Amino acid sequence: MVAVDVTWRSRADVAWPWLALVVRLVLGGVWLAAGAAKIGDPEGSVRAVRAYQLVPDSLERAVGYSLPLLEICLGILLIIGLAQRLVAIATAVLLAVFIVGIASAWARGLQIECGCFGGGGASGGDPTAGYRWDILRDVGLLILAGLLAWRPTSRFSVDGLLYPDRRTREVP
Amino acid sequence: MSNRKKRDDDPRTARATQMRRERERADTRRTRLTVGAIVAAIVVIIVAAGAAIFASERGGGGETPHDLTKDFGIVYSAQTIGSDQAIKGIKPVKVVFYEDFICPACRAWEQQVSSYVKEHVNLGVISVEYRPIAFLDNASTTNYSSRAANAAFCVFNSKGAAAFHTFHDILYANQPSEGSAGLDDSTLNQMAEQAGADNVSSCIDNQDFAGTVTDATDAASQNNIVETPTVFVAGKELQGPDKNTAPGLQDLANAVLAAGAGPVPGTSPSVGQGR
Repeated sequence: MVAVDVTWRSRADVAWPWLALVVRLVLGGVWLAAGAAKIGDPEGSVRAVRAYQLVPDSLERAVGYSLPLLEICLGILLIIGLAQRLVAIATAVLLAVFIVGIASAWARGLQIECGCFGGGGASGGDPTAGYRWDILRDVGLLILAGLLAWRPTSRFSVDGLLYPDRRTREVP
Repeated sequence: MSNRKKRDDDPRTARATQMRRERERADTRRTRLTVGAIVAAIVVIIVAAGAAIFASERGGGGETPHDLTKDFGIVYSAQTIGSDQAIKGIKPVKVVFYEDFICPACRAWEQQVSSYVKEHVNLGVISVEYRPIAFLDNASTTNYSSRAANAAFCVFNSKGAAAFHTFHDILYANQPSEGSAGLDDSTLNQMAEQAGADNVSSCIDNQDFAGTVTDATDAASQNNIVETPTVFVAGKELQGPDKNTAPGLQDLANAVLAAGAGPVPGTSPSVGQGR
């Protein structure tokens, strides 16, 4: 029994860094796509933030301008695999904020598009289905980010170059 | 593996190994914290600097067309177009249209209500304040929304509300599809000439009212306008028959009736005396 257990664990140990690589690329790709779609139209990003009616007027502009830049930074860091745990935690926090925002727009009956990948503002017709998918997608991504934060050891990462023997140790 | 095990059998070696490992672990932890702090600092600097650049690049301000309302609207009314059919002694119901010239729903709306609007404006039953905005610059490759709105302000500034309205109709009749390059400036200028504004070519080319367009769009967004068209009748947002259906001509006509073009205080309405 013990032998089986050990085999299973060691297999997971071998497989995880590869899975973590996939998780990094998926999350990084999503951030890059989301940021790139917004960066060309910062005023549109401000309007998308404003449409949620959650951020105080004085901060709407700052948040709207910062968000695409932050998303692109997180995307690049995830793809190169630098400071993985920190970036994974930041990713999870930002996703949680988005989920709360969308859920609150849904609960208040606002008819807006999430603005997740640019655009934003009003949605034509019934937005409920849109909200549901946006939230499901973000929850899925949040779970991935949580896994990466829990075990930020992955293949082909800058972290792996900086701390070459991490794989044999418990991550602090 | 077996090598290490052999060494670990010796208590002194094992202890030394353990101490070395602990030291290494502490080193790694320190390195990771340092790297994390540096990365976080760089990200904060990039985000803050980028946001500051966006803020500084933001247009707005500049010259404004004269006779624009404080909400960056153009009033199309019996008075501003000098209608001779206006019914004397009634106060027009105030209607507001937020429109984006590349928005297909705005075009559909205009097609429905255009003749009603013209007739009732001429009679002085309603006045329409057009608030051209540019929500959809991403829907063309050339910021057509902003350029078209700027051109509309140019025409209004130069030739007034009637020319603006003609130009506005021409814009919708020639609306480019979303995702296209939009119409170029010389086409916009030809259309302006068609509407009677033959002196706005430099205003269109240089986007003299680009700042006004930015401010108008911003003001709309701050008024919680999130889509175009958005219509207000006597201060109330016009709703469709249900929440999934956009309002149409019937809804507009009903809302205008409900708001009731009333007599100007102290006078009695008299049909036809305006002629």
